[in-house]
Amino acid sequence: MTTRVLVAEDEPNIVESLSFILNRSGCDVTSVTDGEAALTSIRANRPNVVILDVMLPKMNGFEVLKAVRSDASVKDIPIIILTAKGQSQDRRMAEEIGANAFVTKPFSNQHIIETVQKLTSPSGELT
Amino acid sequence: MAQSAIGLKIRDRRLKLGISQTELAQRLGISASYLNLIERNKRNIAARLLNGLADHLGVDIEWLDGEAERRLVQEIQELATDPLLREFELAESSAADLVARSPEWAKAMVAMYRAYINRNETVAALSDRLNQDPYLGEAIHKMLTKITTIRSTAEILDTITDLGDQERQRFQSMLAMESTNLSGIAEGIAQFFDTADTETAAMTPLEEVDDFILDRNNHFPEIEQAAESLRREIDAFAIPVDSKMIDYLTRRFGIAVRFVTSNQMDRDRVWNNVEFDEATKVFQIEDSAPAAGYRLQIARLICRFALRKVLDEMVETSPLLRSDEARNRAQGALASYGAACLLMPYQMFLEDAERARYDIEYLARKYGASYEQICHRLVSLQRPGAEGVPFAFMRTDPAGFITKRMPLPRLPLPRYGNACPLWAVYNAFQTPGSVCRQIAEFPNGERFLFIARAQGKAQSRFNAPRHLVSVMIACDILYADRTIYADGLDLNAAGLEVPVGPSCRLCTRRACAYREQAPLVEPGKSATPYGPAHPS
Repeated sequence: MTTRVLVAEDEPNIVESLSFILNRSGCDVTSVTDGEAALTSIRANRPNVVILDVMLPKMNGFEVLKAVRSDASVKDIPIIILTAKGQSQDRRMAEEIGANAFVTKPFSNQHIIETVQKLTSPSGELT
Repeated sequence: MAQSAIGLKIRDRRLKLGISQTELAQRLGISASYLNLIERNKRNIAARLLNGLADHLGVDIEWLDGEAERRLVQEIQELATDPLLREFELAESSAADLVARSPEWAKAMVAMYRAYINRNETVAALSDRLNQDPYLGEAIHKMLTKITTIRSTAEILDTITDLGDQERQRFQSMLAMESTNLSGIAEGIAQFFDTADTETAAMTPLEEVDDFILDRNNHFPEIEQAAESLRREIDAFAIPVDSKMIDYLTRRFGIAVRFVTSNQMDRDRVWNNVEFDEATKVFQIEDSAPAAGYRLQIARLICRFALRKVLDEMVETSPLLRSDEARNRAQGALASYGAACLLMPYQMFLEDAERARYDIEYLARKYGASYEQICHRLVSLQRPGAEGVPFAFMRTDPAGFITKRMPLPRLPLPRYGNACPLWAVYNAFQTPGSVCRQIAEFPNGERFLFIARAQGKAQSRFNAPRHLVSVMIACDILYADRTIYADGLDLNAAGLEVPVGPSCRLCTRRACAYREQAPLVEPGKSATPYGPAHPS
């Protein structure tokens, strides 16, 4: 079954390269560029995994993550938090709110693909 | 202006004009001996006589009256209070003599001092920028974003061999564009460092202590642990009661604790309504002192003695504390921290705080502590694995002087000068005693819940001046709903937030109606989301 990935990122070139590599690895990728749109899309389309940037307009990634985790209909969707700020405070906040993975920019394509695959594998766990 | 300067000026001017004392006295219609007394500063000068003197000496009355000089004297007196000049022991009274004898030198000194203050403020603001600068943070964020694209694109070009011509061209073009953007951002950062002053070292003992506490994120596990043992030793109940602590002070350290009237205290040695005489080992507490205040002071004294070894080691080994005064002050601050640990034990306090959803007033009642003491303790709940809500802390007086600050990584608090006047910590002065809450949105979109309350320090008597301070804690909006202060607020609703900035000089909101100072760097000159200089 095709893995449906939502990429929420406001940097168009990152969206393009992420979409390209994920498509090539067999995922079906859709993208949004702000937090509100991300939340709407998650609720409407229930993707298999979400790659969520922190610094998004309208609602930031943490706010989206928190809203998702408090919405029973979508709360179990795996979410990868993407950030250019690797501060421990950000990581801690992401973990507390319920992120499944935390990836800091710049990341390698392979790392992203592996993280998506692990989160959508039957065990659903990162090693 | 001091009378001495007027007498001296009259004499100097008269001699310069070659008029004898007798001659001038005759012209003024007064006796020579009276003029002599005036010139020797033994008599005040009536307004009519002053007019006559100005006429006959050919000078403006303002010059003679000395309004301008009076201001100059005040400025000299003010600069003499600067800690920088403390060692010179400048007498306040000598300012008038200096102005009278060498007004140009006095003006030069004031001009130099103003330039020095201005320079200091600039250095301080730039130091803040380097440490917690929103522009710099944003530029680095953008840089990492560009590098992400470059890395990802380069990997695609390098590892995917079956790329179509169009795809290859597209990714090559992206690579070129993002490389150009990255260069622009890097240039912006280089320019920032070219123009920014790099002085970041603390300049006063207070600032050294400030840095020391901030460096430890206001959490000292060594003291927390030592205070836990101490509580058992004091044989206290869940919360150490006054009598147990007083018994312990006497039993362990031979310190006598007495409640006395203010008349029985040495006013020069009283601090926060208590006085401790090291020589006689007597600790006196003013009998009308607020309980929360003296309880903390008793606990503080216990910590000073019982935790001396721990505190000494922490202070002696810190490279941030360079002066003796800073080390002494740090000892005091750490003893206060220990006192808070004794009175509000970590685990119990954390559980209570979580259960009460950080209701400061409830916690103050439960622990018999002041509002500020509770706020202070909340900020220190940062034990790894058992953290409370991360709070920033700020205390300011009505003049805007920030007397205590503990920032959060994403919430910079100015070390010098004022924060943004729209912050709740200032609004709270309008309604002393009431909690003022606010969702504050910064120019970069970060949102925080501000919780502030202005309160008067207990007045010692009816007609004593009322001293107000405003205390604020602040947390990221994501933690807001763990606090009682978010009740009734729709945290996601648009329009509830107040657009604020860090401070005028660091804020990029051009259209702000409350702007008092120009921003240090124009938005268009830095790589920020408010006015990017480089295409993204």
